[in-house]
Amino acid sequence: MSDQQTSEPPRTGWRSLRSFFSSGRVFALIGVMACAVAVVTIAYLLIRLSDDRPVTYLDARDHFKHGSTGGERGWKKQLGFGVPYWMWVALPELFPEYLPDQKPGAGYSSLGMIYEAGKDPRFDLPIGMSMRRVMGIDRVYFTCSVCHTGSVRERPGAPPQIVLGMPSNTLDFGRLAQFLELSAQDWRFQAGHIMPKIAMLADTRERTASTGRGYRPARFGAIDRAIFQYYGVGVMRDQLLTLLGQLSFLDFRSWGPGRVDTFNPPKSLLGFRMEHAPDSEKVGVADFPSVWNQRARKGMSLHWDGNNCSVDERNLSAGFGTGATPATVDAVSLLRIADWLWQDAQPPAFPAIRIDPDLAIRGEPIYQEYCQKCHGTRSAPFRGGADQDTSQLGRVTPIEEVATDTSRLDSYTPELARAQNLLYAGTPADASGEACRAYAESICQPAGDDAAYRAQRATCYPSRFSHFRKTYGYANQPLDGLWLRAPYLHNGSVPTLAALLEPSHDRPGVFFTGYDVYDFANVGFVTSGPDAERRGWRYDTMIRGNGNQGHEGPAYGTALPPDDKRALLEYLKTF
Amino acid sequence: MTIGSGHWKRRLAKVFVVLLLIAIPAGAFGWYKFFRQVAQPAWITGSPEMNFLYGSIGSENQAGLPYWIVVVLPRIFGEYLPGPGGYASLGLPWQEGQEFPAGFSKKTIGFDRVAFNCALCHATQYRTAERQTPTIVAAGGSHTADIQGLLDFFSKAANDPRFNADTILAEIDLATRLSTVDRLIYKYLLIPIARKRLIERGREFAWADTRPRWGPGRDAPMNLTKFNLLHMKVDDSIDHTDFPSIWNLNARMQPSRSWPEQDFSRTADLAKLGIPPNRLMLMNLAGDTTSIRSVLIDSALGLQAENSRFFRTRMADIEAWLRVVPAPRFPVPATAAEASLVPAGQALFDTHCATCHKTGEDNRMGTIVPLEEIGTDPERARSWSREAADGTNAVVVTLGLQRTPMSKPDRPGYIAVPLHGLWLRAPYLHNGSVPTVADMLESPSCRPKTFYRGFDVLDGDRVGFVARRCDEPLPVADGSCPAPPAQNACMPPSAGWRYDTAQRGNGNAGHEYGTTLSLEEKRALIAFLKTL
Repeated sequence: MSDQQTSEPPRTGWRSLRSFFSSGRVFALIGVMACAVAVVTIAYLLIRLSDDRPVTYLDARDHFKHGSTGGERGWKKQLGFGVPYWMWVALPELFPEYLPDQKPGAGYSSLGMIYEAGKDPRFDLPIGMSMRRVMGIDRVYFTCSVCHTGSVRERPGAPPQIVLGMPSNTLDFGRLAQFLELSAQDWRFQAGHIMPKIAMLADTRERTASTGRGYRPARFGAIDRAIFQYYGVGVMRDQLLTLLGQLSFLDFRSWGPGRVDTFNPPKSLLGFRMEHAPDSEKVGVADFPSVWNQRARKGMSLHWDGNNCSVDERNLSAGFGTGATPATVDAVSLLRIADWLWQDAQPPAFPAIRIDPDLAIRGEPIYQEYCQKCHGTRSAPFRGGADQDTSQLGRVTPIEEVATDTSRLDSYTPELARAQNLLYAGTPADASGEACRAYAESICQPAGDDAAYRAQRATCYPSRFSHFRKTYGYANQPLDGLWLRAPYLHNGSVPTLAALLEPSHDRPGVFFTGYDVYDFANVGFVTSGPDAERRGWRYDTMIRGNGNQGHEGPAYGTALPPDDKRALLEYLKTF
Repeated sequence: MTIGSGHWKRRLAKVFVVLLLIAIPAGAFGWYKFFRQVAQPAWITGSPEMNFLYGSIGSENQAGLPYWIVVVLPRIFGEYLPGPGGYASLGLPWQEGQEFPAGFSKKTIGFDRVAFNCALCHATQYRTAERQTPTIVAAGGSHTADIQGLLDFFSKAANDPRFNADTILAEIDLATRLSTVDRLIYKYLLIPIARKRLIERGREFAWADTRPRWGPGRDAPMNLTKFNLLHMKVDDSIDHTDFPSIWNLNARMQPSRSWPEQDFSRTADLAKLGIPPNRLMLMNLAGDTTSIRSVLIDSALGLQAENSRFFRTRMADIEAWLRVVPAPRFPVPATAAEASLVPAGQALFDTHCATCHKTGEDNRMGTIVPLEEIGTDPERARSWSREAADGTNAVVVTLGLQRTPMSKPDRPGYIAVPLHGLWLRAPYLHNGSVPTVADMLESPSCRPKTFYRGFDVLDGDRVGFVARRCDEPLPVADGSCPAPPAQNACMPPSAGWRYDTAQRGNGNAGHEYGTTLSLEEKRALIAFLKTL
């Protein structure tokens, strides 16, 4: 009541305010502001959600090293496999105790991943990791080269020579899976621990000099941080634990460097309840293969047991390991890798200075007599002329004959072949048309007219798998780059070619793999001695799946006189 | 209402035009997405064999499951399958490289649908050695397909709370990129409808859970008709029956037999026909049907095929092919010793078996051998009734189909059948209770009491499939039976399904013919039977 007087002037203001309100202009203003916020939000979301850009490379070799297969991205309800870049670099720093050497600061190198010279393992990606910006987040995942690039050194302390297309001899994939599993199971795998570490790492990176002109992911912005704080870290933990939980029937420790259980993980991912599977199929560890000269391999029995004759299907199938599903595969990028492997990717030659040419020449007829029928000639296309019998090249030798370890063969079941032939179902889109018939029929023929093949592939790729089959033996492969494909046999159970030319009771029963210094005399990597024992993984041929028997007897050259073996070994160096 | 005024007329016309403009594209869209029929590709329809294995019989409209649901279901609900391995774990014959096993037909009616055809039960497989890819034979009676397992799988999956749009679309998102429209159709229509239908179907099959399991290679044909097609009151009958081979049907037509092919009556009273029963050519194992076409049509109706011109043409085509498609020969050439036994075996066949099993003669083939005489398990013959036969005939008439009627023989028994491809038809007798031909030639007390079926490696000596698990002891000889010629081959302990002849409907008694022959004679007879 008493402030009636003082309240006089404001009354006019109140009136004007009221008239302002009653005129409705305020609603117009609020409306405009709300619209502006909505437009900006929608625009931001649209840009962010439609963001899907792989890091690209001009050079085919760089593309092989880091080109994306599409596995980083997701599709609709599937978030995809890609690990956010900052999580990837933070994990070895956060959980070094789960790394083999328990040391932070070296990225994933102790797991056998290869960092090229000049790269900073704390921030740069090793060979075999690709990067793609998906929905505003840089995500990384495996690409082909992770398993198909190796490293060779002439002597201890020498710089490594990195060889693309060579089977990885150092990568311990099982150990990497274990590292991720143990990290995800750790109570510190939560935003409260990870986000500060990421911030610290981002600061560190800015202080260190840039190591190259390549793409470098930006720091997390405020929105990114919020996403990870409340959502991203938890989701990644769930995904890791779910995926690795599905694979819990596998013993990751039994793989060792350079090996992987190829066909048991897909069974589980296809819904097979592996806890009810017979033990005979649960171990299928195999050495990584080389991937050179694919043109010459078209139509051959591919994979160790020869379960598919189509290079295209085999590539897409291997692509699952890089996270590329039919919904996420980047077919263009994958084909660019495939096209480089077609003819361009070639193995480096064995150092000529270390070959005795006279001895090698003496080995040639021995090779022709004992090996050529199954393994073909020295160089692509490996198939010989009329005077050279290469009739068994690319075919499957029955297990009774080759008599090598059966685990890998038994791990591939007829049921899996059937289930795999439903992969890439629904493709090509024009399935009823006759257009892709020619492609499907020629897919397992030896390479002929590349232009015609590529033209067909342009419309019919990818198409539903239809060539997976169950075999009952191991496939006879060409021997290009043989010296870099040690250890030998499908399970990597024989360390050197010299040992492979001995009967199994004379082959080493225990040796150490994963050490990349080369043994030029015996043709293979150094697998004994203090360095190999310190750096390597103990390979025990008595463990299931690791048997080093087979591929022996007079027909396989293990009964040759020592001189002939030396000559043959010398000739094999020239492959 | 002032309908007469021009003002209203114009307004109505405008509304009509607008509605039309909406309705035409909506209708076209609806037709395209739900009703547009696309013929199956030429690689299926081009050959009778492929058409039999993968061709539509017209059941996709009623019973077809949406393609992507069929694709991803085993990936989500693997625990409801008999073992690891997707649909292959059900023992369905599956050619390498094919998208689906034999018996799955895929057809686009608006959207891609998958339904079943005759080959689901009438395609078989064998291997001559364990390390070998199975050979698939169309029109053979499947001895590996676990049809009850397949039905259970769908029903259990549909009853699982994870059968929802979220889970299923998440799995589909791993397998393909559905368009937004198709996602919506799957989410709001196909997934919920499929779930409802599968749950209903499972409920209709609930009666099967109260009986012994069918096991691989068998179903309950009469009870399926009684309880699922006719919705008759569930009784306690058991009619587990081996899937028969259906090749070479012309050979079943013995001379001077007939059935009035134009008799499309609703009832089949054999007495009223004026034809003596031994002049008829009966089909089905207990002689319940009287013509090939009838068996075909009734079986197809069990798969929910619809009467249409397409259906009738398919039935006629399938019949024409089945009449002439030959039974395969035993895949391994006979040894000289074996071949030398064949003439003696043939003589024994003519003496002991020809009355019932020789084709091309006017003998007892295709007629009923009464239970008292044959002595085999009676359950199957007793499970069928005149009431059921008349009911089935009535249903078929309401569907507008013409075929000779089903009946119920007055004296229950089993019909004598021809023996083409006998080597691929194990296990033997109507209920598959005797694993090999050699065991058939033993007296019932000496036939195996339990064995394993569903393993597809041939036993060339005893003629049949390997039926012993490697971890099971060999049968012990006792005084009353001849020393059991041990089945040398065996299957891994993870393979096969245990068949127990003590269960109701599984009896292995009867058909005691040739059981008193000498060992030498039996060997000769088996050598001959192998050549059929």
